[in-house]
Amino acid sequence: MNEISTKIGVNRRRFIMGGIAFLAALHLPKPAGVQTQTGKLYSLGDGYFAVNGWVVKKEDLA
Amino acid sequence: MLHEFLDKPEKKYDFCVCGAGAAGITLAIKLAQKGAHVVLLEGGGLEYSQQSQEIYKYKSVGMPGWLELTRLRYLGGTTNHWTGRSRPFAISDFNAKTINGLPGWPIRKKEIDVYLDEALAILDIRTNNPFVPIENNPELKNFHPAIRAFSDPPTRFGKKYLDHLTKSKNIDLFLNANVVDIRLAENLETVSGVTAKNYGGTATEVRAGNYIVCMGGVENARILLNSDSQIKGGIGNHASLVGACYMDHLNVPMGEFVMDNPPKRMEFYTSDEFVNEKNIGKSNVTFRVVQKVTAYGRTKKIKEFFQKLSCDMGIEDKVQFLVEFNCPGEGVISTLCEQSPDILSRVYLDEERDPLGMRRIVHDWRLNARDKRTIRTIAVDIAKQFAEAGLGRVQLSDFILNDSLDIPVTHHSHHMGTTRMAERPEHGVVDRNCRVFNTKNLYIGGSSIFATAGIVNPTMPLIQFALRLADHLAP
Repeated sequence: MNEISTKIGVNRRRFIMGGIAFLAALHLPKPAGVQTQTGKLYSLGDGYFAVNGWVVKKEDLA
Repeated sequence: MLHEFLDKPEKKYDFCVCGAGAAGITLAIKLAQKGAHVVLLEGGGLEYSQQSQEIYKYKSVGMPGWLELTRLRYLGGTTNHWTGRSRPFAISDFNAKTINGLPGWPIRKKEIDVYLDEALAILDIRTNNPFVPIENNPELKNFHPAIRAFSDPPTRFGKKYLDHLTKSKNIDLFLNANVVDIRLAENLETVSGVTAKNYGGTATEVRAGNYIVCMGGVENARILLNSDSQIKGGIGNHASLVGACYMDHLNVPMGEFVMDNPPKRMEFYTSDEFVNEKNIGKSNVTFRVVQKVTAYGRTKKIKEFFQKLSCDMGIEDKVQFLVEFNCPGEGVISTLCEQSPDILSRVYLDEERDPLGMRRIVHDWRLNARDKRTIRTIAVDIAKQFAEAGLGRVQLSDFILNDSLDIPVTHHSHHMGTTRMAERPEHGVVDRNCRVFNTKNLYIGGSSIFATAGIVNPTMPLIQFALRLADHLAP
């Protein structure tokens, strides 16, 4: 009886921990890059972007 | 006088200097010039030998540091293959600040500046305005043109000073004399002697009034840790800092660049204002257009042939999974970034012993969060500056932009910090005069005493410190 209870306890804990991990993963910060048709775009602040790694000013983004 | 170690040193000397590299030779000569009797113990011979070099074998569990290839174990030490580049510490390097919970230098720059001209003369660098900024560098906000000076050809201490060491009446130089233990008197504060062994296993004790360990940035820590028969954990290891705070300068392939008519080489220093504002380490960033393929190490010729063939055939992209390299015409960005002291980046003793009975080193070289921030902040900022100034375009590597990727770092062969200098024993291994805390007559010479790394090439500063130590020991 004790053994069955323990197993149920373990499974419940696993389920709860898994749920917490899933929810946490949803809220983890993602890499700042955004995939676009022309490549990966990163905002570097101060009006600069990296397009496929190339660093350009915002006004140079065509 | 020059001796093989089978001639046992019988008399008691004023000073025993362990290790005949840049620091050890400088100290021995300077102390002898002051009239002191010096015994200089060198583990290697007059030339490279596999038997001696084998003592340097170690285990790496962190980032690869190539400690076997980047150090040389014979008279003159690693100056036998250094490039001859010198850069001084800056005033700002000595402004006391706490990094990763560890205080900075306990002294000010002026305390080593008085030895600059003497160090430059030792390194065969002209002393009148030697540090010349790189020419034709464009002006960038947050960065200055880098300065440097060259010994041309690089000073080889063994060749340069062998005759002097041999003829000096005040110096006894013993070759193949490997220091394997530091013995303490009953008070456990005074060194009574060092045990030295030759390769035949003959051991003897060498005695002096004062002892200076100058065996290298890693080996200085190794001998202190190995000398643990009287004090658990080794001599000077009261705060578990012997071997800790291992630093090298960080060489990071930040990316590539294109620009019209680039100068042959552009080299920048971060400004102090920028470094302070961002709370990061300093950096030297180099832009250069590759002229020819280059390779290093024992397999240099094979690698160069392979790389040149790949570049000529235009298939370098296909073979980069084997080894990364650049082809002629490509603009590459490389760095010499300051690594911050951190107790987790360290060397410690392995269970395995070398043929002399010394436990070998485990090398656990690590980056911390501040180091990563230094690399990424500098890369992004200098790329922005390029775009802002209309100089050209910089393409940053993926690992700069994506924080989740590991940063591939290679070494600069500058081994520092493993017996760091501090004001108080809880923060370091040696005091402001390079004396090991809790000892009366044991001192350390070399870059292992560096509290912070700056963006210096360590040879010239460690010579300044050696000259300062000689003046302290024999005023």
